[in-house]
Amino acid sequence: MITCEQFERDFKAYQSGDLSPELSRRLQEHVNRCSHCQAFGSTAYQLRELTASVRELKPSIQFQYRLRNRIRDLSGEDTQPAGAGNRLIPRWAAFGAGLATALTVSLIILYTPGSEDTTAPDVSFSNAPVAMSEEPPEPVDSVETAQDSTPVPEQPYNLDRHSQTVSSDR
Amino acid sequence: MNVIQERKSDEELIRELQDGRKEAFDEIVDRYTGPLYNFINRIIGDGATAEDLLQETFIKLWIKHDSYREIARFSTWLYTVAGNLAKSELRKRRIRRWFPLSSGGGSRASGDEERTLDLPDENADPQRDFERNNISNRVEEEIQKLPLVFKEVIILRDIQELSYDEISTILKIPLGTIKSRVNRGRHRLQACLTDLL
Repeated sequence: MITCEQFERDFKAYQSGDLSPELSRRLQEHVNRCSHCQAFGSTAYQLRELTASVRELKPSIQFQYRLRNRIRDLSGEDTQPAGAGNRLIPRWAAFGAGLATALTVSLIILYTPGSEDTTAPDVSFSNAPVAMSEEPPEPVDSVETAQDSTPVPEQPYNLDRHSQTVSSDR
Repeated sequence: MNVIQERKSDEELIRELQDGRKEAFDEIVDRYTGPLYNFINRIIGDGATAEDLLQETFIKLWIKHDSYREIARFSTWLYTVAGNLAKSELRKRRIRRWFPLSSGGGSRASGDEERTLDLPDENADPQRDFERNNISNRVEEEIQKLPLVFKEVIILRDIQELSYDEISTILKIPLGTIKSRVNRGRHRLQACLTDLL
């Protein structure tokens, strides 16, 4: 069945006899019963040639750049469309999680008990008087500390061992 | 072996976009930027505003693509959105009593110099090109002068080459009315362009 669009499209070829006999016959049948195409055929097809030939208008080069920036703003950093399977973590949630982690680590560092610390002793307390306590001092060296029952302040090295070394050299 | 990648249909692209494939949106933008810009610009006669409205059209697509259902063609959906935005702009202008100083098309805001930067063509016929541009300008001016009811159907039918059924769906006007308006619009144009016919 011939449509008005097809008639308009094929009219020029129809006028110049470039169509097959069968197609020409069908176009003729159509125009015989279609007032719209009769009007087109009588005067309008030349006009349509003019209107169809107007130049194509194009947007500026920056248009697509601006559009993509706008889409990026709407979607966040990731330009996944709404309704996609990958959901972004909201920025506020990520920031909150990072802040909570930083606070937790800080609290751990600040309030970790030091008495059970078996790492190197704090040198800054080496000259401070040690309070008498009922708990025995930590054994630094089993041979030297056995000779002296007095609580020994924590020192970076054993002074008794150093003096014995000196006396043996003489 | 050459593998010819068939062009995806609009419906395939919108389905991919609904499934979350962002690249489908880029393909739709590339495919419809030209036609929709032509349509909007010729309706409102202002290139800079046409770009804004075209951007809004694609933003609506980005936000509401999930609501599209294959009841009508996807192109019809896009043209409907673009047409509604263009008509809203015209209504705003009537309210503000603002009329564009000229009816020229093209992206004036970004500078017509971008459109005039053509590479020299050794086979160009300056006289022929001048006459062709003159004729094109004249036709565009006369189309701009048409009342909106005729202008929109002439643009969609004779420039954008949409079918009558599509135009009827886009404008929500019966098919017979569309054909009648196209005929009347053409007659008006013909009366103004008799020297070119």
